[in-house]
Amino acid sequence: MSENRDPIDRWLDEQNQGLVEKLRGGLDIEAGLREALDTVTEPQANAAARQAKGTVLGAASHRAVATDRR
Amino acid sequence: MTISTSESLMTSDLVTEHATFDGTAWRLSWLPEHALSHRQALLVMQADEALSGGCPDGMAPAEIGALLAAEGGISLLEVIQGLTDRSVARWDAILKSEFSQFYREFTPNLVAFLVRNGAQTADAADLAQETLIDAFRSWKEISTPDRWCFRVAFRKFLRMKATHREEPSSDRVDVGTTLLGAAALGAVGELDDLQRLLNQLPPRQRQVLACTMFGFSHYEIAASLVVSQEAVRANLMKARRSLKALIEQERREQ
Repeated sequence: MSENRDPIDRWLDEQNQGLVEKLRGGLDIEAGLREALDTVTEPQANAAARQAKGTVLGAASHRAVATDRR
Repeated sequence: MTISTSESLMTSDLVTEHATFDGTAWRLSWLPEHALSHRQALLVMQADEALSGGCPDGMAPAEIGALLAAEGGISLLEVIQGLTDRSVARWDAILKSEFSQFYREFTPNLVAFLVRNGAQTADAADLAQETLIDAFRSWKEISTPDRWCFRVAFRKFLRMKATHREEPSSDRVDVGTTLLGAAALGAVGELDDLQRLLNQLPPRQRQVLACTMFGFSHYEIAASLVVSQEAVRANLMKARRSLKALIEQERREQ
């Protein structure tokens, strides 16, 4: 089936494959991946920490208000 | 449901968590900070099974909660919180691992796709990185990440082209990005034969051809470029004809 393809399509595939391989060798994939993981997970972790902190602070301030009332 | 207990290990045939005896107390795999008696550990393991919903003939979570409260040391709420945290952490690890594998495999294809569409190599790397970060944010909702990334990256590229004036590539100073360090720019940015020929095509023909090469359907291209599928077919035909003519011309000149 692939042998019946237009030669230009085969040439385009070869050229694209060559470019992809060149990029695979030239791109710093691991640095990019680290950045992507950090960009998405750090804000989530910070938000969770803030929420946890907020809960603790909330409980503390609740107690403070209750003490004041007494 | 079966919880198997040896002298130092408690496992379940329903859930993956377990408890171990460290010589002085039983420790749960998901709440190791609690030192528990054998009975407490067994109750917590039963709670894990009950919460997993896999043992309708076992005790209900509320019943186990009451027994745990009577024992003291650990509450059902702590068990549930611990299990939830552990599940979330496991799920996150699975998502990260899936995404990492996809990122390593697919990133060069996405950058190549943008380069073929006419993006400068550094811009292509930036747009690809932005797209992949978006993909990770929506990872749970995306069923075909490669198609999703191609579509999103193409939209980003079209927006960038619409907002930036065309600048001759010789006037541009490419700077490195995270994905593409400045040192690698020269080697990666060199034009291959196809790139030189694509640069000679009108932008629309080039885009239609580039998208087709990377598996876009006529419908997808038409939707992205806001043109009819007929226009896509016509541009593709012209692009292929022009490309063949340019290849022939280069052969004659050699």
